[in-house]
Amino acid sequence: MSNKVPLLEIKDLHVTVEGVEVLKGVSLTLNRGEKHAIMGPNGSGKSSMANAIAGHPAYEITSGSVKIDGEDLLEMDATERALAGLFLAFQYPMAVPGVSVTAFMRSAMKARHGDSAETLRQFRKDLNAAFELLEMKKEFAERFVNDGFSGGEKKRFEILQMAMLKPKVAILDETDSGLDIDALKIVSKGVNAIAGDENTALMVTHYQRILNYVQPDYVHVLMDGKIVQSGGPELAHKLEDLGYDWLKEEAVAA
Amino acid sequence: MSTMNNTTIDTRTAEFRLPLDDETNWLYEQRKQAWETYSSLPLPDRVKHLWRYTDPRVFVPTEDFDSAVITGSLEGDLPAEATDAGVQLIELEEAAESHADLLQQHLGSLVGPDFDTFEAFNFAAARLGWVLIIPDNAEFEAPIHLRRSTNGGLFATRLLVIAGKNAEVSIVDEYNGESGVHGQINSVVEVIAHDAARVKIATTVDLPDNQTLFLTQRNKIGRDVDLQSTGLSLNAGIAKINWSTLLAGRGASSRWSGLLLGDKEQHFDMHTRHQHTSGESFSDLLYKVALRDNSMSAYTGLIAIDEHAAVCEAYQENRNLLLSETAHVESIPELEIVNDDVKCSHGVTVGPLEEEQLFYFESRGIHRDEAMRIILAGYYEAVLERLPKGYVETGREALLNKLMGDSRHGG
Repeated sequence: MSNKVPLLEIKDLHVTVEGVEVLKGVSLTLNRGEKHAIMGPNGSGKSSMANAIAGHPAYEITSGSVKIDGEDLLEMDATERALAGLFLAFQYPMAVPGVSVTAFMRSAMKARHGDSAETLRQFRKDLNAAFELLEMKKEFAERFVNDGFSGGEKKRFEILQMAMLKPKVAILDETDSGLDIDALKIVSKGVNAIAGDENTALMVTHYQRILNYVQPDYVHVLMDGKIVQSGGPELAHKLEDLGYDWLKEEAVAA
Repeated sequence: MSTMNNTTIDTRTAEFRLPLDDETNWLYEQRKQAWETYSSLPLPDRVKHLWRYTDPRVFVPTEDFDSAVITGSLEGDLPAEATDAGVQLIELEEAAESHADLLQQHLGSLVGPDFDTFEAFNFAAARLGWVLIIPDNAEFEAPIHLRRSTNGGLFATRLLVIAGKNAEVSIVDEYNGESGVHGQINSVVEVIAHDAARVKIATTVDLPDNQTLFLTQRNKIGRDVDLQSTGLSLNAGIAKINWSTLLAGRGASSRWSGLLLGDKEQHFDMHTRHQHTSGESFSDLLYKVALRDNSMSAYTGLIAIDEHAAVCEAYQENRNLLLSETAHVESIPELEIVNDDVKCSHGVTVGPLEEEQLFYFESRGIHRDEAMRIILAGYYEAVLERLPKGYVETGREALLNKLMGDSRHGG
C-alpha cells in the first residue's frame, strides 16, 4: 500500500499482571488494510497484549503509548476504546445467563447508533446478514450469550459481533483454538469478509492453522514479552516446520 | 392487564375499630380467642433461628391495639373467564356469613391462631381479606389480580384460597403502598389445593421504604398437584416472609422461584420450607438475591422429608450478588430427611458481579452501569420467566424500574 494510514500504533508497551511484567517493550504499527499475526509459544505475552490494549482491569500498562486512529487509547476506559473502534475477539468469552444474543447485540449497537426505529430496522438487517455470514441458525438469536455454547459456537459468536460492530481495529485472541476444520473455515470466511481495506486485524495465535485461511501481510513472533522476529507470511510456515526453539536459540545467541 | 369485562370486586378503604364487641358472627368467638392467645404469647424469641435476623418488635402494632384503627385497602380483579368458570372471590366478612361451613373448616387450618404470636394477632385483627374459591375442574388462563395496601397504621389481612380438584388457576397477590405513608402490613395466606389442581401464584412485595411486611403463607397440596409460586421482593423497609408448602399427596409438585433486589437500608428475611409427607413428590426452589447499599438479606430454607415419603426429589438453590461492600447476606440451608430413598441437593453462592462479565460488555462499547443492569436483569430472568402468563411483562417492568433506580418508591 502506498498511502499508509496507521490505525493502531503501539510504542514501547510495558504491561504487568499482578506485579509481573509480561510485556517488556512492544512496538507495532497496524496500517489500514493490513492483516497482522502475532505468534508465540504459550506464556509469551500474546493474550496479555490483546487484553491490555482492550482495557482489561487485571492488566496494568506501566509505560509506552497506544494510539487508535491517531487518538490516545490509554486515556480511554474499556468502553471508550470499543466506541473508538477497537474490538477484541475473546479467547474465552464470558457466559451471560438470562441475556439473549439479540438483546446483547442490540445494547452494543444502541451504544453506537442510539435507539430509534431506523436503527432498529438496520440492526435487524445487519443481524440477519451476520447470521448468514457465520452460517448460524436463527434460533441462536434467542439463546443466552455464550451460555452452554460449544467452543466453536463461542468463536463464531465473537466473529458475528465483529461483523456487527465493524471495528477499525480487530484483535482476534486465539480465535482458531478449539475449532474443528469446518468451524475454522466458517470463522475464517467471516474474518476475511470483515477485515478489508478500511480496517486492520491482528490475529493472536499459537498455531498457524488460521493463517492458512486468513492470509496475513505480516507475521510477528512474540517471546518473553518482546517481538523477536517480524516477517511476511513465510515466517508462519517456518514456525510451523521448525517450532519456536530456533528463535529461542537466536535470542540466547544475541 | 385489561380491565374490560373484569369484575372489580372491591376498591375501598375500610376502617375497623377494636375491640370487637359489635361483632356477632361465629368468627367473633374465634377472634376473641385468638386475641387472648396473642395477648398471652410473648414476642418470638430471638434465639429461635427463624427470628435470629429480624427484631420482632418492628411488627408489633405501633399503637395500642385496643384503640388502633386497622386500615387498609383491597382491590381484586376477577377476569371474566374466571367468573364464567364459577370462581368466587368473596370478602372475608361476607364469606363468614355466606360460606360459614367452608370457613369453619378451612380458615386457620394451615395458619391458625396458635401458629405463633403475629399469626395469632392476624387471626384476631384481620378484617379485610378474601376467600377465593375455584371449583373443581375450572380452568382459565388470565390471572386473578389481588392488591393490598395500607393507608397508614397497621393493616392485618388474610387470604384463603381453595382450589378444587383438577382446577387450574393463576393468582397475582400484590402488596403495594403509597410512598410517604408509614405503615405495617401483617398478612396470612392459606392455600389449599386439592388433587390434580394446577396453581400458579405470584407474590409481589413493592412497599415504600417506611412500610414493613410480616407475611406467613402456608400451602397444602394434594395428590398430583402442581404448585408454581413466584416471589418478587422489589421494595420494603423491612419484610419478613415465612413461606411453606406441605406436599401432602403422592406425586405432588411444588416449585418456588423468588427474587430480591434490595437497596438502601432495606431488610428482607425470607424463610422457605418444603415439607414432603407423601412419596414421589417433587420440590424445587430458586432464590436469586442482589443487594445494593446497606441492604440485608437473610434466607433460611428447609427441606423436610418425612419417614414415609420415599422416592422424593427436593432441590434448593440460593444465589446472592453483593453489589456493595456494605450489603449483607445470610443464607442457611437446612435438611431434615428421614428417608433414604430420596434425591436432594442444596446450594448457596455469595459474591460480587464478575468483573470479567462487566469487561466483556465494556469491550463491546456498553457502559458499565448499563452493563450491570443488563447482567442483573439476565440474572433474574430465570425467575421472571416463571411468572404466571399475563403477568410476566408487568413483573419484568417493575424489576427494570427498580434496576433503573426509578421505582415507585424513589429507588
